[in-house]
Amino acid sequence: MSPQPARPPQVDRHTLALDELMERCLGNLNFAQRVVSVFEEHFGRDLAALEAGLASDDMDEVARIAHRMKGSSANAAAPQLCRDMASIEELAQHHRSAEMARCILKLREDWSQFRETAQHIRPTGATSGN
Amino acid sequence: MRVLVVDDDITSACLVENFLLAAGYEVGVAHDGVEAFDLLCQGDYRIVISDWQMPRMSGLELTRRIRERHLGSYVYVILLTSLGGTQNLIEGLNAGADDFITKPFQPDELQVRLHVAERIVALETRDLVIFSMAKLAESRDPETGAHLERMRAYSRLLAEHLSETAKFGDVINADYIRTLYLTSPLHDIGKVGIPDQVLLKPGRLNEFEFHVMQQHTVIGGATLDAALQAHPTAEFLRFARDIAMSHHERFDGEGYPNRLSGEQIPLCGRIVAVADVYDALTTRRVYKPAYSHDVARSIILSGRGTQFDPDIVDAFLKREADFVEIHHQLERVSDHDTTWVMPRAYSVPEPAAEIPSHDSSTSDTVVIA
Repeated sequence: MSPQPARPPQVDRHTLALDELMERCLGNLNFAQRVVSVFEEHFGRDLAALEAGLASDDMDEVARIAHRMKGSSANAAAPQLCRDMASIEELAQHHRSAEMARCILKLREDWSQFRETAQHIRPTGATSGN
Repeated sequence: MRVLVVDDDITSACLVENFLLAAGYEVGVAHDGVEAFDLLCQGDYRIVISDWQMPRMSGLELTRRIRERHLGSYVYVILLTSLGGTQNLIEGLNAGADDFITKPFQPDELQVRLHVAERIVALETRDLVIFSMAKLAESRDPETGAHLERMRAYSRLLAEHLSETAKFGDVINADYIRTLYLTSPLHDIGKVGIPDQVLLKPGRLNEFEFHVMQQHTVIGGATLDAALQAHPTAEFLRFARDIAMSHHERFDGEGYPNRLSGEQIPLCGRIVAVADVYDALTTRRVYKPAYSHDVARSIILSGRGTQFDPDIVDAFLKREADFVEIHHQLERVSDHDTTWVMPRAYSVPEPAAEIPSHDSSTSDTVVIA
């Protein structure tokens, strides 16, 4: 009996729109898993850089990083993170640092949620790079 | 076809690269504009899919650099970005981008836009190939570049008229006319394979030499057919091959190289045959003066149904005023250029017609080899 093709697990689509990601990955679950892994690694790295930019009040740098994270999360089918990054980018562009704290808090929560969700599609035995 | 993906966002670059590889493209990846421009200068990339905001050099600046510098062939640039808004679109297109896609990319949309890109790039390739080959033919052809210009204009004129008739209206459309215009200058491309002593012989060709000269149709047809085999979807190559191979066939089956007759002869070959002969008759050659339009007209008319397709001769008669106009428009170029030593087709009997023609191999035949 031939093995059944791997089926994508059900996950919260506001956090990770897996059907959308699968379409972008041409139906290849293994590749989708790899994309999520790459996304987690680089998003985590960018988040650290973004927080460093905030700490030094370098809003141009924050806006630049937020823009990249927005594009990355859009293509990785992470709609909530994408919305968070769009808000942060806009605040940074207008140097509204006072309103940033609330958004960063929300981002951290959503990032945590995403990583938890990503566990469900990670291949057995694999661990997050962050 | 090689596509360069440029994005500082690794996730996006990875997704687009995977999509392109699955679609059969060769893919290169760069993570900023500087790295991309270096790769473009080194490699033969025809399509660039670039993010907008990147460190060191943005996608916008990369696009400007590509447009400023001649990279050998046209590079089609698609900006892929999460920047939205009409102003950004205008700025991107003004910088020289050809297309614009917003993140997240949709596979179907990217696929369609890549097809557009390929079509544009292929158009440039096609025109370059035709231009190069026509120039090559011209370099070996003692006839003039103006001959090619007139001949393609006459061919287009005939095709335009035929497209308006009930018999050919379904066959000849705008694309047919455009392709005929583009490819008809390749009709004598096979002359590159004819030895100088035959091609450039100022005197009359003997029987053997004429046989050698006739081979230009086969050489041209085979060369273009080989290109067609390698690129079977390149319709212009099929056209060019048919023209090169068949423009010396006769409607009555007495032509060469395959003695095809009637509608066995590709329509494009039948059209070019009339255009080619008219131009040969109405321009001066070292062995003959330029005949008047009226003389050329009577020669062509005498070949109606024997040498030429009667429908095409009829089209010629309907549009003869336009033929005269084109001839006059390009006459100055012709007068300037017809100092080449002309080859002469081997003529079996002397022409019996009253019209003196060293190009005639039989009384009702005009042979322009």
